[in-house]
Amino acid sequence: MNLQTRENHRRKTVRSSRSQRKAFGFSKALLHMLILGVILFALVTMRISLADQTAKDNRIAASLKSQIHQYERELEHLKLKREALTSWTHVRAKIKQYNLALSAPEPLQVMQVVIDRRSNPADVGGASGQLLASQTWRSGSDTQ
Amino acid sequence: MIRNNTLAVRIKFLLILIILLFFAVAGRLYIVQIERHDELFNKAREQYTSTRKTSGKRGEIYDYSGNLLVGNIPCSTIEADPYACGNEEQCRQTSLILGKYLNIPSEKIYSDLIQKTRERKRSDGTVETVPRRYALIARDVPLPKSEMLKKMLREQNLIRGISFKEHSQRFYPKNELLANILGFTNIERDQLIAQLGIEKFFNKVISPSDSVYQYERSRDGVPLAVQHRQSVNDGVNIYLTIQEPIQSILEEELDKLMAEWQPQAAYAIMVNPRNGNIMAIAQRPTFNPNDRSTMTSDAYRMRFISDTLEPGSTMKPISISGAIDRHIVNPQTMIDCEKGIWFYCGKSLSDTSPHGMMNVAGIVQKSSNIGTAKIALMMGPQLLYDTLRAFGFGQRTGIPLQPETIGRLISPKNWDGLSITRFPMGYGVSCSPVQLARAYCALANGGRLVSLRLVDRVENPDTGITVKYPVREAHKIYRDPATHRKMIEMMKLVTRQGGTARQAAIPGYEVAGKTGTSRKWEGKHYSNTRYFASFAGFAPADNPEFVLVVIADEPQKRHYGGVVTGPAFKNIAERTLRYLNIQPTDPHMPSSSIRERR
Repeated sequence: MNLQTRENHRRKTVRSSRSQRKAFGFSKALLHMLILGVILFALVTMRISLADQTAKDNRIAASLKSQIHQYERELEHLKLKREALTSWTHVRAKIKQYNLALSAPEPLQVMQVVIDRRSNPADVGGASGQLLASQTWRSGSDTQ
Repeated sequence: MIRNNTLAVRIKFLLILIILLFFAVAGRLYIVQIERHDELFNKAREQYTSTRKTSGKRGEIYDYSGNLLVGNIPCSTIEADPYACGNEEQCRQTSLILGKYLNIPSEKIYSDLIQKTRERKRSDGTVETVPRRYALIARDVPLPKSEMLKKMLREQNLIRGISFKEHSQRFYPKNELLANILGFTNIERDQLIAQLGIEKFFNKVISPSDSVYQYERSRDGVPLAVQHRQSVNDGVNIYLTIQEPIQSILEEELDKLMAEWQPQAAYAIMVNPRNGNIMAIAQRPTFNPNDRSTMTSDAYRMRFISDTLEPGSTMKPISISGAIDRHIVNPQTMIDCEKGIWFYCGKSLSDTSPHGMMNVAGIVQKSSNIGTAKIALMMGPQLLYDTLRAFGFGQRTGIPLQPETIGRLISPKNWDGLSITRFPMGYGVSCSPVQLARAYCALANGGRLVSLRLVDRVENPDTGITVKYPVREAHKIYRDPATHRKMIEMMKLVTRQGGTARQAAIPGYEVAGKTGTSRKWEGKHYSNTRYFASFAGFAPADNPEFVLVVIADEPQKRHYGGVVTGPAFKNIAERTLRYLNIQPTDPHMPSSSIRERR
């Protein structure tokens, strides 16, 4: 009886160690799958969040584009306004309105300065570049 | 033990189920968010985006130095969706705001907004009531005003149902300046149609391409942001040879001529004789392209290229140059001017003042008809015809505008007996003012017939690439290079003491030119009361910076070219020489002239 018991116990022990090994193996596989699942989940979540971020960025870019478009329209409007204000018809009207005593200079009163930018300022290490100015006084500068 | 086993199996089963579910969810997420992302995203986007068609910017027109002459002013068309505009109170408030700033009766806007439905006839003839989704509030509202209105409506939460449709309107910042050359455009069924001038001639290249773009909108239909815009090509920018400051001078002086002599029309053209660049060109009457009420057919027709005139005495130097070039006469050759009246082929020909024997230089200076006719007789019909033809009469000038007349120059085989005495003094031959200016360019530049240039270069605004219009090679007229100097010296006499155009003289500068006074043809005979008065010349005479032609059509009070158009020539030329900083030949003259004026 005792022997039987002993054998049973031995058989039971063998069986339990086998099932333990099985359970351990299963748990291990489960753990691996779980880790894999978590990694996959993380990857998918990351991909989703990236897509969401891209969509958000696109929206911001579109909004900025819209703003730029608006600024461009304003700029266009200001450009045309400036052109209208600098036209001779407008300037002449203002001269008349404010009674400005302006008159065209005599040719001899005009000094012509020829600026010859021989070298690019960027080429001379940030220096102001070489500006060659020649003053042209044609036939007498002392008139009036 | 059995219970434990069952439990373990159940737990395992549950775990497997959870894992499977987890994988199913992950898989579904993968399919939805990654695999079918674009498809589903686009499907969702369709729910909150709209598509709108727009076009790029029409090309702008600039002068030679880059001053803007024609641009596109941004503006908006305000439209409403009455169905979405809210209740009576909201419609009332919206109409009050819009009416106040758009100068439209608010009651009118209110009645538009409050009408929420409309009746529609079905194909079977029955009538159904449908929501009313469109009402036009105002067109072409300037940008600052539309932006202000948009802001106000948004602040008061009244923007729902109101949309601001962006577009551009053609705008001419200099108003009347160069209006006839630039032309104008009209809007027909939302399509821009170029009507005249540069706008029409270059319509294909300055027209932009269309674009379709999508924008996100809120539930109310209010645009939130532009989502996707197809690339569009803007029209090319055109740079003319015109110089705006000179153009302003020319137009100002032409206005003065109109005020003083009240002609039916007046023209002035300034050309660089070296390359044919038109520096300034104007006609009166003109119009303001920004104000359609000023547009009459007389005002916007391009008369300087489509109308013709008999140039009168301005033709004489051109005819005589043929005789000088072939050594038939020289400036000192004496001609009998018959004491002012001469009969040829049974018809009389007279001079304004009687002259006896006079040299060719004197004939040009005093503008003798008899002397010129006798020189033409010495030349013969074929040479006279060849000379006039060589100076461009009877041909187009090359100016990029339509419709351009070729004028009238009859072939010698169709001439009658009198033709040879009338054609050299500008009768029986007709030309446009632009053709006359071109012929004078040849007199000024040493006998080279240049093609007129109005467009200097075109620029692609997208790429920045600029293409220059080539200067065409000029056709050489003179056989003898000395002809040029002889002609200049004779034409200088016209503005000197004893000449017909002392009023065209500019103190300090030498001016070469010729007056013209021609009677208008009235169908069967020449009028005794209606004239063309003209002056064509160039300055400084020895090294011309420009050729200038001024013409008055039917001036009142006086009709002589020297009297009517001479002073206008002088004023335009003097101011232009100053602007170009051309130093006077005689440096002491301008100061004295100023003292005289003061």
